[in-house]
Amino acid sequence: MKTKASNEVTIEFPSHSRNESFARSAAACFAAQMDPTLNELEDIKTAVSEAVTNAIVHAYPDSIGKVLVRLRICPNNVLELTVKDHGRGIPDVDKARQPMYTTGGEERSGMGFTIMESFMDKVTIRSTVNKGTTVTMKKKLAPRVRK
Amino acid sequence: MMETGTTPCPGLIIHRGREGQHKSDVKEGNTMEILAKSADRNLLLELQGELDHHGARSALQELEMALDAALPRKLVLDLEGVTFMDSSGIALILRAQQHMQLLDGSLLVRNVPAQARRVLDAAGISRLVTIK
Repeated sequence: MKTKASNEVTIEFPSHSRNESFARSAAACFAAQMDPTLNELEDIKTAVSEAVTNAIVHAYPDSIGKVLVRLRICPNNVLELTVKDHGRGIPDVDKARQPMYTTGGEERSGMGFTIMESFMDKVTIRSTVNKGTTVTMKKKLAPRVRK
Repeated sequence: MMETGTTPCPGLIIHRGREGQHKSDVKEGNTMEILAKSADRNLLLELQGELDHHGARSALQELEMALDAALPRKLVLDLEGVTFMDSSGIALILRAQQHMQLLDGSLLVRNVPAQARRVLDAAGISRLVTIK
């Protein structure tokens, strides 16, 4: 069941690599209302950058398709990030999650999912070949002391 | 000690991204620049900007061009000017490491900003590459 969000935003853009910077900046701007620490903000930007780059590189290797990013503020100060594409999908998700595994050539390190898992509390990947991939990440931000 | 002057001399290659001698990329939206200084087969590459997949593609080309031109014994990647880095930066560093192994040389990565350092640490890159 979907958790109720106190605020949410959805953005959609074509899979141009120049939109990677836009996507992580937009995510950081939205997350700023949760009063994150600088490290938390950097974690969010990095995880979004990895997921969006995966969509751009792997979902649409030979074409331009749509990438959707949804950000939701959930109870207990949890930020939920979803990156969705309608590309070619991942045949073996477990293999794709392994460190150093990549099908993206020398410009990719195969560490994208490892970074996402390291910087987020929970990462879920749902993928269907030729239909697309949805990556959902959750991160609980530390409560801040308010005066 | 690496040559940092701007007067061309034998064995010295200077690519100055900001001052117009050479830019790593002129593609739309590119935010990555590399400043290269080389002398006595020591090559210093100062990376500036956002090292994501978009920026890393041109940076990889620039890296290979600089390595082919200098054939260095020692390569230093200075990341002080990197304002953001994701795993694309890891690919670039590992590529540099492979090249230097082929040249029987060494690689040092230095002045790594905190965000980039956390990315490198998460991937365990410090076990493979010397980071200062």
